[in-house]
Amino acid sequence: MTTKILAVDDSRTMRAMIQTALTDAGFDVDLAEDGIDGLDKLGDSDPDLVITDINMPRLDGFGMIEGVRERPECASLPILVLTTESGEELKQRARTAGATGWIVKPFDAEKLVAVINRLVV
Amino acid sequence: MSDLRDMFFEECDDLLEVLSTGLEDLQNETSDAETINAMFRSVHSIKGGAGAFGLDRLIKFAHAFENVLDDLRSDKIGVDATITALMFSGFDHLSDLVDAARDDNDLPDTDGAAVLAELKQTTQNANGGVGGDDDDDANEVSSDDFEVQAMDFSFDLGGDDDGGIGELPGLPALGGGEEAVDGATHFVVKFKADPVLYTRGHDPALLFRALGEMGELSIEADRSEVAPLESLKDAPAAISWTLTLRPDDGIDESTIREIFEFVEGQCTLHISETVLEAAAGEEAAPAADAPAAPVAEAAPAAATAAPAAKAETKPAPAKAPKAEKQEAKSGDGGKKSSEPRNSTIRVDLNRVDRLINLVGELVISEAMLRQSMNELPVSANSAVSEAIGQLKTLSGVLQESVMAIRAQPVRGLFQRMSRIVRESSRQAGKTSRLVMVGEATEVDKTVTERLVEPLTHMIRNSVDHGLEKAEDRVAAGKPEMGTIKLEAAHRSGRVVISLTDDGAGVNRAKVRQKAEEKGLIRPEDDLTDSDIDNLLFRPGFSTADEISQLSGRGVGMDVVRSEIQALGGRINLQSEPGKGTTITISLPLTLAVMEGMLIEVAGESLVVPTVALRETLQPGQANIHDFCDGDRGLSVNDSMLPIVDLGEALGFRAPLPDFSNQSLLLIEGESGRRSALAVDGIVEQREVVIKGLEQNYQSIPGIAAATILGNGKIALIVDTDQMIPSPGNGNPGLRKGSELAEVNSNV
Repeated sequence: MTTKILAVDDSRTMRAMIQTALTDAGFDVDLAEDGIDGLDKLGDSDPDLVITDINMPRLDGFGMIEGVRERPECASLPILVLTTESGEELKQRARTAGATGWIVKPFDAEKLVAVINRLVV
Repeated sequence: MSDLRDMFFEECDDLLEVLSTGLEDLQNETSDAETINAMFRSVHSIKGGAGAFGLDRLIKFAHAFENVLDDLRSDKIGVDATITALMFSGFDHLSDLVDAARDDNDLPDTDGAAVLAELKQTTQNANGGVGGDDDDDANEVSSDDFEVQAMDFSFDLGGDDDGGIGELPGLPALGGGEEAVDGATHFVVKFKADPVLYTRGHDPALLFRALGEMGELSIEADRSEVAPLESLKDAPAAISWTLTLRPDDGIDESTIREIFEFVEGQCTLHISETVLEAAAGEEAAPAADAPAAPVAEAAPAAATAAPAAKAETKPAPAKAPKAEKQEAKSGDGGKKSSEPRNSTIRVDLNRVDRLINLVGELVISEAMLRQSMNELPVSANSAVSEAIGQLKTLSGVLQESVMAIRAQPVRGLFQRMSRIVRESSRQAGKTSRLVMVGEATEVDKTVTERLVEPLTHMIRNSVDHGLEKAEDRVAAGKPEMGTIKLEAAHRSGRVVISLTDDGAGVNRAKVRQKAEEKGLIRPEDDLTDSDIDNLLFRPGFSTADEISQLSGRGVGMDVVRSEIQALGGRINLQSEPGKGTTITISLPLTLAVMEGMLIEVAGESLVVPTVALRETLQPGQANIHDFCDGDRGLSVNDSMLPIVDLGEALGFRAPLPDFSNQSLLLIEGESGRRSALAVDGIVEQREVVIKGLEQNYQSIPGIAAATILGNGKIALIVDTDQMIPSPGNGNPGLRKGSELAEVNSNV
């Protein structure tokens, strides 16, 4: 079965870039526009991995990650943070919230794919 | 990639709009916490996208801008006039950088340097003079840096592990020991997951699998700490693993550490390097079994429950406790906002245009069908007629709906203008503000795009010529700050955009004097105030005594007028001395369809736009007057209008000897001048889909465009403005100026 990834980013350019990179790598990609949208789509999407931005309207990446972890069925779902932020404090916050990994934008498609492949079965 | 690039710049426009709205709110003190958050996100997203496309200057500037916004939202800086002004300058420069990047232009280095410095200074002051991380952060997103940034690995690897490699005698379990004969480097990785690791989406098996791809791997699991089955909890967390890797070429410790980059702080990790002697392999072999044996003995009960711990080159399927995925549609994210979802999709404009075209064709087909039906002996009450009536209604509604897709609010356009107001005020040394009314009014996208230039010019004129100098304003009892108002509204099927200033109004004496000097009017001409005001739109007219930096660019209001006319619009100026000036632009809702009068001339079908049409007449010969040079005029309500023989003007036939069998269409141009078009017959008034000619033909004098009729024939659409002889404009391609051309509607 194809690996499904739910990518959450408020920038449509970024969503398109992620989608292009991941689709080219053979993944199935679902997109969401912010944390609320991401949590809404989580059930239907049933992803193998979530990629999320941090700075987003309505519900930011931290809130979104916490929301994902609150669901028992998502307790061990890998969540990658993909953001322009690189501050240690923010990384620690993301980790505490339940993030699996952190990648700084701009991302290199190959590396992103490599990291994903390391995180999904 | 170019699609993505286009998308990025499109998104930038939206983001800049958000930023601009936020700035307006800041200025008007109607902002809240979310305003600054939204502004921050906008600049942040621009920075992010710019990073992806390697737009370094944009990244740098957005970064500095973002820092100030960040300080604002964390209340390190308060909002005051200075900050707001800086934000506006920042916004302007950011827009310039986006534009420059879009067009692949390089802005001069000096551009925006001052703003950038000021932004950085602001951040520095707000953060106690420490702005050190500034450039570092910016560099991290620079285009050259595509490195995956690992979570910082500065933690003490194996810090919780009391035992170093020295305490792990015999543990280099060399894949059973049979192959370690080459004296190669081996890595020994000791790994024990903290329970938290499993709650962060990690799975040791996957880490081992990644490690296994770097060479030949053997794995040993130590389950000695795993509790008996009856009290089994956190079983996987109780297991520690020892992995021995015989690496492929190019694999070093750092590449191994990379695999564990995300589990920092969530595990005990110890990596060591050993070089094994050729002979050591055989000797070590028996030792390798040693640690495994007690495991099996110590926890026999756990053996079935715990993940398999076989030593093999592929990782054991040591699955983290991954719960069965369930349907989770409940949406119990818990953080749901009550904000309504604004669901929109973005569609390629070409697709929309294609749809509009198709609907246009549908409307035409429908008209053809109706026409054919009329020729059949079918009762108007028949089912067929009713169905066709319904089809007509539906296709009408369909057309309207499709047109609405192209419509967008004028807000973006207006916001661009607020910058023009700021810039021109600065240059003219005046203070002024822009007030916007009706920004939500929707207009065809093409129209808003093509309004940028004319509106820019109009606003510069208003600031430069309309608004008085501060001291004159105060003397006149007006507030020192001038007000420019941009207003949009829908009025009787058209969009009306007006620009009002509260300046001195048109100096009519001066305008008249100038127009006489330039020979645009004669001293004896009797002109109303409105006539004089609208002289400003005449080519070559400029009242500025000195060419100013702003509006004296060789383009006059005549250019503005012709641009508006090209959009099928009308422009009009009203002025009240001492109070100000209002310029009103009236535009069709869409450029694709228009209301027209279908007429016939010399066997040809033509369409006259209803916009220009004032009256249709079947005049008696008594009202038509011959003049000595062959021109003819029509007397209507005490005024004399030139008659234009359309068939002759368009070169269809020789001049008619008399107009007794002709219908006359009274048309009025943008200038307010009128003339009468002589045509053979009037067919009906109808909506026509405009088909441009200029793509396939050159622009044809007297013809604006074409349309396809119900019977499939082409009808040309008459350019009415070119059919109105006027003293200033002449009428190119048509008849030469005549005496009658001097007659205007006010005579």
